Parts: sequence; C-alpha cells; structure tokens
Amino acid sequence: MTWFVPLDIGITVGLIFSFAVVAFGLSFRLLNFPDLTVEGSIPLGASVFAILLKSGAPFPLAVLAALLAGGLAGALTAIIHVRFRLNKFLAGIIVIAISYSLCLRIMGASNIGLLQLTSIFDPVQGFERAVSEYFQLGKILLLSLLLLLCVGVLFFGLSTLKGIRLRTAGSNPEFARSLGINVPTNIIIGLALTNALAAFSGVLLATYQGFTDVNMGAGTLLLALAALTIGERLLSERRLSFPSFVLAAAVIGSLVYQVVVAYAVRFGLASTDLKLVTAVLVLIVVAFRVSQDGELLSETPK
Amino acid sequence: MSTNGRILSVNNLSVSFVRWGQEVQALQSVSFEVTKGEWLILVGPNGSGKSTLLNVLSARLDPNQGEIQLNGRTIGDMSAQDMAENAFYVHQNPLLSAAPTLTLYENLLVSDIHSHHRSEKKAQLLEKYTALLEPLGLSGRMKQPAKTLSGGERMLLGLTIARLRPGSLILLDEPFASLDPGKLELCLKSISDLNALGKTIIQVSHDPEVATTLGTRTLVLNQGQLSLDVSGTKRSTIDIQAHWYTTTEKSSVHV
Repeated sequence: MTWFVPLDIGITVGLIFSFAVVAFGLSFRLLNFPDLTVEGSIPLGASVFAILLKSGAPFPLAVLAALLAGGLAGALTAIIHVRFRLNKFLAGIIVIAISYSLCLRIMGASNIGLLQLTSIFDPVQGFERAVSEYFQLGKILLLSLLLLLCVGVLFFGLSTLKGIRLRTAGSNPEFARSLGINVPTNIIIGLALTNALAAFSGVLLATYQGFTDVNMGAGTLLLALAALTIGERLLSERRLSFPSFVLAAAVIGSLVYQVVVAYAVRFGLASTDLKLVTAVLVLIVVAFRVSQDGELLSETPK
Repeated sequence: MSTNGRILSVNNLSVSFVRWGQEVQALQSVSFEVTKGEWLILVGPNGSGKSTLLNVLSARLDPNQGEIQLNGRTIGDMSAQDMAENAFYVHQNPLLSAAPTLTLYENLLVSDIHSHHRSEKKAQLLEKYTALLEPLGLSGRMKQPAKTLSGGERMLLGLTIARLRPGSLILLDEPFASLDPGKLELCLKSISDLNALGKTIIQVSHDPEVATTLGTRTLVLNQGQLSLDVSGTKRSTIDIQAHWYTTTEKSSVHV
C-alpha cells in the first residue's frame, strides 16, 4: 500500500511550490522579466516568518511580514533594472546574494526548527488523522483552497484595466509608454507582487518540512522553469486567455513535475542527479516545442 | 487654444548624436508650423533625418537645440502622461504597434480613454470596437492575441488604436512599408479616416509618389535640413526625387 506515497508527497510539494512557479510564470511570461529573485525571496520569506514565529509573534503577522520581505526583494530587483539599467538577470543575481546574507542575519543561524510552533496546517491536522493515516488529505485540501483563492484573485486582477495596463507594460514597454502608462512603476509593482507570492511558497515549505534553512531556495529556479515548460506543453494556448494559460500551466506543471520527481526518486533516481535530470528534461521539452511550432510561445518584440 | 488652429510649431530644431565616435548631425535648424487638420507627408532619402524628427516630435528623443510647441505647450516640459494625451506615435515596425500577448480587445481597451473613465459599458465598448475592426476584416479576431496577426494586420490595428487615442496629433513612421496592395488600400483608408475625424497627421515616407499624391502638404528633408515645403495642388507638379538627388550630389562634392 505504499505505491501512492510518492503521489501524495508529489501533490503536496507540488501545491506548495506552485505559488513560486506561478510567481515565476507571471514575471517571465506576462512581464517579460525572467526574474531570478524567486530563488532568494523563498528563503527570505521563510526566514522572516520563522524568526517572527519563534519570537512569539502572532501567526498572521509572521506570514504578512514574510510576504512583505519577498515583495521588497522583488521591488529591489525591478528598481535595480529600471533605474540603474542593469540587465534583468544580473539584477536578480544581486538580490539573491543580498537575500542570502540577510537570511543568515535574520535567523542568526543557518537554520531554525519550527516543529513545536503554530503551523498553517494545525486546523486540518485532526481531520487528516481521522480520514487516513497514509494520505495528507487535510494539507492537500487546505493548500488547494489557498491556491485556488490566490489564482482566482490573480486572474481577476489581471483582467481589470489596471491588470491590462500592467500586462501592456510587460508585453510592449514602448507601446505602453506611448499610451502614458508608467512602465517602471508597473514593473516594480509586478515583481513585488510575484515575489511576495514566492515568499509565501517559502512560508508553506518551511511549515511543511518543519524548519527553515538558508539554502531552501536553491534549485527553485530550475524547478520553476521545468514546471512552467511542462505545463505550457500540456495545455493549449488557443483555448485559454494568455493570463489563464500561464496561471494554469504553472499550477499543472508544478504538480506534474513534483509527482514525476517523487516517483523517480522512489524508483531509484539518486537525489544528487535530480538537477541534471531536470535540466535535461527542460531541454528536451524546449527542443520538442521549437521543432513543433517554432517560437509560438516566446515571441517578443525585437 | 490660443494658437489660432496651430497644433505644432517647430523652431530652429537641431539634433546630433555620436555614432561610432563620429558626430552625426541628424537635424539642422529645422523650423515649420502645422495647422490643425493638416496631413503632412515628410519625405526624403534614407538617413535624411525623417525618423529622428518623428522621434523628437514624439518626445522619444531630446533635441540639442530648438523648441517644439505642441498645442501651445513646450514638449520638453510635458510629462509622459501629457504627451500621451496630445500625440500618438505609430511605430515603423508593425510588430511594435500593439502589445503582442494582449488580445485585440485588450489592446483597444487599454488605448481607449473612454474605457478609463468608465463612461462606456463593456457591451458598448465591444460593439464600438467591432464596428472599427469590421471594415478591416479583423472583427472576428477580437479575442485572439495581437501576435497572431500578420505585419500588415498589425499596422491596421495600430491605426485603429491611434483612432481611439485622445491626442489630436498622429505620427506615422512609414506605415506603408511592406504592405500588400489590399492592406495598403485599407491602411490608406484608415489614415484618411483619421484625418477626416480631425486628427492632424505627420506621415514619414521615402516614396516620392506618396509624397505628391497623398495628404495635404509635403515637406522634403535632405541631410537634416528642410529643402522643400509645398502644399495644395502645386504638389503634383513637383519632381521631388530629382530635387533630393541633386542636393545629395551637390553636397557630396564637398565631402
């Protein structure tokens, strides 16, 4: 009866990371900003959350502070790019480096245990034990609910006039400027929002694994890229509006990726090889896509 | 405004920039005035400064010298927002004339000042946009992203966007480049519709025929200087091409 354990773990972890994948997908696809900051805002959010919770702050406050920290990291990346004209990737790398040191400073150690403290999963713990001793059904339901809420709000927000203006700034900055849209402000707000979302992923991950570690963000970028690529491959852009296509691809891709990884590890894939395998997987999917429909998905104004 | 129907006045405009270590004088002491409702064709050989002039007029490039007044206000003092409300620039590259990942509907919505003030409901807006796209054969593609349109179709979308903008000055950089005859006709119709609606148009072209048959006035730019400014019926009798080739040859003697 252990064949479904990887499925269970894959879905739970997939849901947790889907917030970060959604964040990466939105910045990459809708804002045309391949934002590396997520790799830093995840541990940053988790550290702020952990230290506040440990020092006795109320749970909602700790979560809010984590979102704020992630948002600031994103805003900083955007500011470095739009104000100092530094390349998008380099701006992200600089903020990742800043976050790393900040995490160590904030936590005062390289990790903090959270097992005895309030958890986001507390309300569903009893239910979970009552339903099944194998399945983390309570966590999955709670995470799905949060994700649905979050994706719903994002979808609605992106279809309002403000959301359309934000997407115009990302899709064609020069055109946006000619319409009187303030492109830098929109990019700063956009990245602040996506990185707050990534920080939330960090909070969930810390809660789920019971500790915060300064290295917990490492590899997220590759994971997000893999998940997004898989999701975009599985869905048809033609049937959905572009924002819903990106949102759905991020969520579905994240779930599929984590379930596949969970099974691969179960069937003997050494976790040390995981990054290599993921990178090759991304390349295969991308190569397949390019050979099939050219650059349909990656058209950007030259 | 207190400018007797004058929408634009360009005074002693000079622009130079350094390219590959050499100073290039793109515009030299250019002065002219444009009255509301005019359809100006700005013509000249490659490198004559046409696009530079359009870039300065749309505040995308700062002049080294001189002043431009748009609707009675100096362009250098206007905010990006002010500029967007007074003038609209349609990019030479039709792929840049709209946001590629937004649908046609969203592109029109974000450009339409009426949607911002919520003075019209969604159904009304949709009906209005359908009516605008219908003659262009694009009304059935309202929900498709702009990137699915061909270059020519995107130019038509850009001109439709120009129509929705509040600005009375429309700047067009070579709108006819790479259009098939059918699209050319639709594009021409769109521009003359814009003009008929009261928009002032400054259209850049390198085609001497366009310069004498379209619009209401022709300006010839040659090596950064205005070498000809004619309006009315006289235009059809002028051999513009001969004009700019002679001056180019003349100046090349000095180089």
